[in-house]
Amino acid sequence: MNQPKRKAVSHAYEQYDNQTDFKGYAKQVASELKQSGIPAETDPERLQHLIRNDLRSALPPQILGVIGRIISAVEALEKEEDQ
Amino acid sequence: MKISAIFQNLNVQGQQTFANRSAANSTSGTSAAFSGENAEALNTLFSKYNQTPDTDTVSSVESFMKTAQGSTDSKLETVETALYKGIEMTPGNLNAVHSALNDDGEMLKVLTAPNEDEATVDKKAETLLKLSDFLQLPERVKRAILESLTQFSELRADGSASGELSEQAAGQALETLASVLGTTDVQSLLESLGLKTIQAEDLSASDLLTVIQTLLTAESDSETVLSTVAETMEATVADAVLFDAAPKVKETGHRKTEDASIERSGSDEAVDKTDAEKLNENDGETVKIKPITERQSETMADSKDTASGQTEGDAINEASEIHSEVRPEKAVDDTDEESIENLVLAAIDQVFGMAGDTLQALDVQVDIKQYLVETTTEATIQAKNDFSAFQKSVDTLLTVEPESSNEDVYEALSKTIEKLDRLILKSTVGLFTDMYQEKTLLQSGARLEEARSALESGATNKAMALIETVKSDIGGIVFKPSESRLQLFASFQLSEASAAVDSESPEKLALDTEIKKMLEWYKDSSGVRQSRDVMEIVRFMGGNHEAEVVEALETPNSKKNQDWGQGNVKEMLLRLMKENTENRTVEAQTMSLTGQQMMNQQDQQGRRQFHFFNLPFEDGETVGNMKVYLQGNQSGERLDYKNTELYFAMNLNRLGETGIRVKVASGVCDVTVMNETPEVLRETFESLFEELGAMGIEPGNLRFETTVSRTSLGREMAQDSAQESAQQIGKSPYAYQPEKGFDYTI
Repeated sequence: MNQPKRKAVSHAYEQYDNQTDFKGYAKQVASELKQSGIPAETDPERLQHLIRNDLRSALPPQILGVIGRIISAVEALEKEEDQ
Repeated sequence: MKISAIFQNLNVQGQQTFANRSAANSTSGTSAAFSGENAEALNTLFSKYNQTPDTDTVSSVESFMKTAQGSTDSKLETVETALYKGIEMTPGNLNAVHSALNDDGEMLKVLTAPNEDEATVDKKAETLLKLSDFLQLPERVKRAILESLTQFSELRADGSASGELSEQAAGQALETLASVLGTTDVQSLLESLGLKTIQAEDLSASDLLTVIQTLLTAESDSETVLSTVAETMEATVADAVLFDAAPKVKETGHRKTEDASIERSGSDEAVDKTDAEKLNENDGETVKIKPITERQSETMADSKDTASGQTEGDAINEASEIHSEVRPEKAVDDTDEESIENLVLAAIDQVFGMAGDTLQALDVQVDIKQYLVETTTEATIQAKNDFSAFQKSVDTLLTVEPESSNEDVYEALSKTIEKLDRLILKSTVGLFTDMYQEKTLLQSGARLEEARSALESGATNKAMALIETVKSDIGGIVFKPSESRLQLFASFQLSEASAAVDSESPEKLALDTEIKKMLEWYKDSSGVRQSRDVMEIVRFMGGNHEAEVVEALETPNSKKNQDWGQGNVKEMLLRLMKENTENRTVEAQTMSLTGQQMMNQQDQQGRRQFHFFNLPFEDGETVGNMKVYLQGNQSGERLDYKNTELYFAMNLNRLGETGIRVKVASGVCDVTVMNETPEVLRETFESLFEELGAMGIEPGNLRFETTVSRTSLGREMAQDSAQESAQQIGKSPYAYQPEKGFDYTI
């Protein structure tokens, strides 16, 4: 069966996906950030790699759950060893 | 895990993607080739990703290879990571990625090290408690030591005359301990215990040190020693309160969770049955409170019972059973606003009890308690309404009309999965969800995925059955904010209120306190970190900072946009850098975080995803650093959790170097635990392994491996000369080498 169509563009940066000048968008954002004084990376070279990674959309909760269980297990073991 | 091995797997499907992207990613200047000792390896790497470097890239990479710290292998791995992720090869970017991959947590330790100038009574008490824990003294004796020395410190600090009595009492007790044993070499013992911060002039601490030394070097029968200690404490610290039925331990922030049952002793309503029984059983002699680890094991064991013996058919009906599991803590059963308010009030009372010092330190005129009650109640009611809306929306989406095509149903399933994930990871509802609700939601997500697969394979009836189960399960959930989650939310509000009225400079905002507090908050009452907790930890560390900043900028009239601040570590570091450009530790940590974020850039066109995190965790009393590598297929915008591989690498204070590999293939999960003494980890991981089944991931095989030879080999390999590395790469460019598969150099 056919896969559903990709969802509509929801972020301004997505219009840059098919262009080679994504850095242009990063420069625009960097400029806005500098003006607003919001503490964030303002080097466009780095920024271009930081603004396409909303991890809340990229990582499934099941995997985060696995990570959480493993962290908890390790913490519990270390606490037991401490006692 | 050698990162090259990860790329080896990724490239099975990923290389074609990069070939397609090469036009966009290749540099635009004159093409060039690498020269010098690493030329062959670098040319091979670029060729592998169908990239032709230009002169600027060659210059940047060669400069990085010469100047960056670390082995040649580690630097080549950095270059490969940048190539794989399509990160522009500038010196800054390469250094950032390299810093993230090779961050051994030392910088975090520097940032989280306690400030010695801020020694307080609480800190002394905490140190003393730590020491008495180490000594494994009976609870009664520990409390006596703690209480008497804390009293002593407090009274001494106040200059109170009655302090002499406490001092005398404490001194006598300690002298008795010391008289049983002998002592030498204080400093080395301090260091071996990781207690460098104790000052020699701190009388109580030095006294206790003497006790430790003497105990450690004792040849006397331990029973005799402890008996003497107990007798002496009872005789000299003749304060009935110390031996009252209800334990009275001064609460400190760091012990909030562990001693929650002690703190709750004053409130019958808030004490769960198990803890209440323990308190009632107290005969006035010894009060033994189960440590959190035991309670966690019990919870896991319960879950194990639930999950064991699960079959494919059983799984269909299991989610409804989850609702009937016994909840270990109080939750809202009747969700009207009044009962929510009552629960909020109870939770805030707990928060106030634990934050007494903080509140005292705040010179505020506003009624913070009222503020907390209002904001928390409002958020809880909003979450309840949001959850109701979510339930209605899911019901509508999953109601299949007779005329619906399979494509329509598939799209509805995808939308529901997206809504479900967003509910867990982005909404306020997710902040209030307890472990049992989360399990139901994760199970539902897994069933929806299964229904989607069933539709794809033409098994329509199976898909419809799964859809009906999910509709019923989600429709049957009663929104129940747990008390611990309400406390968490209220604690945040309190923290924000503190920050708003506290005029301390950013340097005094103290990253150490913030990170430790965050780690303490983001777990449920049994110590388990849920999926939302992990996301919040990643966010707190700044892993999502710029993405959320841009989201705020793009949202017209966003409240965030007007008054924006996440208060995460990245933001704090950037503020610190602005104020103090000379701080190299801050600069290095910022770069490491940025490099990590760059590696988490989403590949918009790829079919495989790779992510990397340095995650802080509670390693005893210190903050540890865990490296987490994820790679897997992409499913829509997300990583496909049914086809994902994870590697965890860490060096634990007690258990040493540890690696955990989790491989999920077609929804079946294999776990390999690697440690020099894997047997110590067996019981805990067997429980955890069963727990995975309740999250929609089917348990496969659990293995334990001894890593002595592997880690030794890993170290040897890391010491290879640049020439040898280049030769290896030249012969077999980054071929998977099992013997290098567990290398802690990254």
